[in-house]
Amino acid sequence: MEEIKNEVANLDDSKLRKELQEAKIPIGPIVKSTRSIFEKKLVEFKLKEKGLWKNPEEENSDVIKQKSCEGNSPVGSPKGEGNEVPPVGEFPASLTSTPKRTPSDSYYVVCIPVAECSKEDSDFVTPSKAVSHLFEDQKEALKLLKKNPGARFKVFRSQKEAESFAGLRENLSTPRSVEVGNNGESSSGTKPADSPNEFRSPKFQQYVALRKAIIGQDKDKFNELVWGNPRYLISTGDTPTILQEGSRYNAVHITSQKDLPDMCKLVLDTLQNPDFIQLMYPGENEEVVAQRISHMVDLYINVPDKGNFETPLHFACKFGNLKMVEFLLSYGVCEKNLKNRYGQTPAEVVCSRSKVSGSEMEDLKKKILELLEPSDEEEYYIPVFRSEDNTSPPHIGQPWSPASSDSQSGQSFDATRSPVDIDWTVKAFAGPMSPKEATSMYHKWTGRKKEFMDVQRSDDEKGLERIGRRLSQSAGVPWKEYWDFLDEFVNLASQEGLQKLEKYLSEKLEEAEDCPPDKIPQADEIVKNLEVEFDDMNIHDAITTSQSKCSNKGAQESDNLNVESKIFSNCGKNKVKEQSCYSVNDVILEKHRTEILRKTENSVTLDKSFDLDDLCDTFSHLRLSDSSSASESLINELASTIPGSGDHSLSKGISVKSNSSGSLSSTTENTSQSTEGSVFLSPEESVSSNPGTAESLILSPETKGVFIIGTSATRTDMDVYRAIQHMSISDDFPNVRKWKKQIESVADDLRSKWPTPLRKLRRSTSNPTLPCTPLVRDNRIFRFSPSQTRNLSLSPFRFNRPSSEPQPGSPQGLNMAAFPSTRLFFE
Amino acid sequence: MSSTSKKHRDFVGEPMGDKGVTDLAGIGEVLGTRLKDRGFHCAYNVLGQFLVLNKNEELFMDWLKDTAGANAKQGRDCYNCLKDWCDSFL
Repeated sequence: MEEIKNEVANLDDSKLRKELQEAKIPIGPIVKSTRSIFEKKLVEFKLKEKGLWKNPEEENSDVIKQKSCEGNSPVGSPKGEGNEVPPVGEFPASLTSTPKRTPSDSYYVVCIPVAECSKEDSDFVTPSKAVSHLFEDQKEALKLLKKNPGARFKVFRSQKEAESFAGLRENLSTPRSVEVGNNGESSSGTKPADSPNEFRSPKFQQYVALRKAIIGQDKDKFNELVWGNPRYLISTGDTPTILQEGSRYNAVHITSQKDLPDMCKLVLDTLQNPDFIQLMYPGENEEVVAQRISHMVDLYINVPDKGNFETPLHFACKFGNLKMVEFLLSYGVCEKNLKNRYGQTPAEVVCSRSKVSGSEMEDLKKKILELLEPSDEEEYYIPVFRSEDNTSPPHIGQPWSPASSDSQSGQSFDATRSPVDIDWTVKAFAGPMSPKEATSMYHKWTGRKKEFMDVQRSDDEKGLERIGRRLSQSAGVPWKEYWDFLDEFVNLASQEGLQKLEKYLSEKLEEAEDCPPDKIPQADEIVKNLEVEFDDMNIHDAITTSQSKCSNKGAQESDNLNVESKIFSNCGKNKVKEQSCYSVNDVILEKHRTEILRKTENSVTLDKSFDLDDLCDTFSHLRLSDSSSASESLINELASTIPGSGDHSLSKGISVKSNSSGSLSSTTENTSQSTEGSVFLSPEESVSSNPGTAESLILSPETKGVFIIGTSATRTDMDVYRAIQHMSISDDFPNVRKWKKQIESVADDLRSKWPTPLRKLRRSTSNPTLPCTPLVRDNRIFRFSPSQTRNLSLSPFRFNRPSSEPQPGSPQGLNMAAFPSTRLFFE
Repeated sequence: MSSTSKKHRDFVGEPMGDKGVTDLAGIGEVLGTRLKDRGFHCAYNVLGQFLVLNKNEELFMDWLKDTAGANAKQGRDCYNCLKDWCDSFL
């Protein structure tokens, strides 16, 4: 035997391993600490082989057993007793500590309330007496205690104290004993009603058993455990139980990790079974149970673990458990964008730990991402709201998603609308984007950054849009805004937008080309002549020539002026047609202007009945006012000024103008025309543009170049220009390019004075053909929150918000929480 | 240490279960086979050794060097991996 021992001891690690393997002894690593055990095993094996084996351990084990018995008995017995005692408060703890004292030192007084005995009496409420018993032996004291629920005991060091305490005949029972008596009557002893205490939380080892059952897919065992004690799944405070200590996994974590959708379903189904909750909390009404269920399911599905802060969905994605992902996502509460310790969402960790590889993994990944993709379908939009007539300040709506809107649909607005209510319309929106992006963008947008505030204040038409445009560009979020002239939502700073603009401009151009020239053949002729002449004549010559031409025709001043203005405008247009290089055109235009100016001056001075100074004043005044609202006053002024100047035929033109002031659109055009003229030209020059104005009324539309609205530059031009300012326009869009160049050539401050085109007022009640195009995507019509949307049938982007306050524009009737930005304006 | 490797994170974030030795940071194919030859099939085997060596960095790295021929970096990675795991789970 010694030989064998030596032999084995002399083996080196690898040989020992080999021999052990041959002997089919299960082995682990052979290191210093384990070697002796393996050696012993091998020796044992070898001895057995030779038949020399006597079991020395049997003797040893006997010894150990004896030892353990001796060691256990003093500690073990009180503990065993302690477990049997009904757990009321801290009793077990105090019990375990008492045996350390020598028993003779302690005296136990057990008080049994008398109320217990007279339970049936109705006046048990004031039990004033108690029976006390004095014990020296702890065991006996506990026995009595156990027999009498509600009894209390106290430990004393000296017998004297104990006796004097026992002598007290007052009620020393715990208050609980009274309650027990009370409940005992009501629920007549079927089950104790204080059921939350009925089930004890399982021990850690018991949780491990449940975990094993889940991993082993042992459904019977699972049901047995869980229905035997609901606390296996419901921890204190309705939180999930932790089945894996350390990393704090709950049952759903484990099933996700191990790819056990069936078990996961079982777990969650059990949790959602009202009977199960009733078992835990008997006698609760359905509402509370439903609340508990949704709370628990939410926690089970969304609580992150302690290691990497990952949710079950992270696990399922990470390990490529397709079915699990599918199952988890089938729960609406499942949050798809929670981040783990390293800031990754489930979508970002898909298949990172998957066992499969290569193309198989790619397939799996694609499938899982497809499942997750709808998470992005929780698209959030940030709308810009404007009132129909821009009388109330625009504001930015809260991030909104089509998905979330349904929940709000319950909100109803009263049908009665007062005329002062504002029609809020979505005029622009950024999105779709993730909720997080949306929130951050919303805060940036509404934040009081100086730069933004300046833009917003200086530009009430498109201020918010300009900021939004910039923000969405920097965030890489799609942006769309409503353009009146295109009658749709489009981002002009995109290829699609440019295409639309191009189409619009070319249509406009065609329209302008089609109309006017045949009406003024004479002028056309003159234009051509003039052009020829200008090409090789100096200005002075030109003046004399054209003057003579005009006089040759024998026209009156008015005709003169009219014709000249035609020349002026037609020249410009022809040039546009003929020459692609616009700057040259500009130069020639300028020539014409100068020439016409001089001529006008001549003709005006010839007639002498025309008060030039007056008109100059009028126009310089006009130049300052760039709002369309000024048009009315301007016309009046003109009308009052000019007819006073005599029977000049120009007054005809003016009166035509003032007559036509009834027609809103022509008035605006008119105004914009004259304003534009005054902007382009100096005050004296504006005289020459005046006939042009009159002319344009008669022969509208006339163009000098192409503008977006009407025949002259307006606010809209500037707004559009700003939208595409930083875009380089490719050759595919010649008209846009031309237009942009044309706008660019105007100085910034002049541009800002361009007039606002007249708003086409749209009354939803009177005019059902509304301009708003529903944004249709994937065959779904996106509506901005039904709570904000009325007249849905008319246009999804319209909504009216009634204000309860009588003042127009007051947002009192609005949900302030939903539109915090309004506060910014109204507070 | 500026940042941790993915392997480290994956190991440290979860219960060890019965992960293989190659799941440990710093233990690749080569070291893995060597460790397996010596009976260290699972990560918990190495953890055991780590604990027996009193979680001492120097001792553990020396041991890994002797048993598997690990270099200093591999040794340190493995040490940190087990240490972080113990910090969060023991």
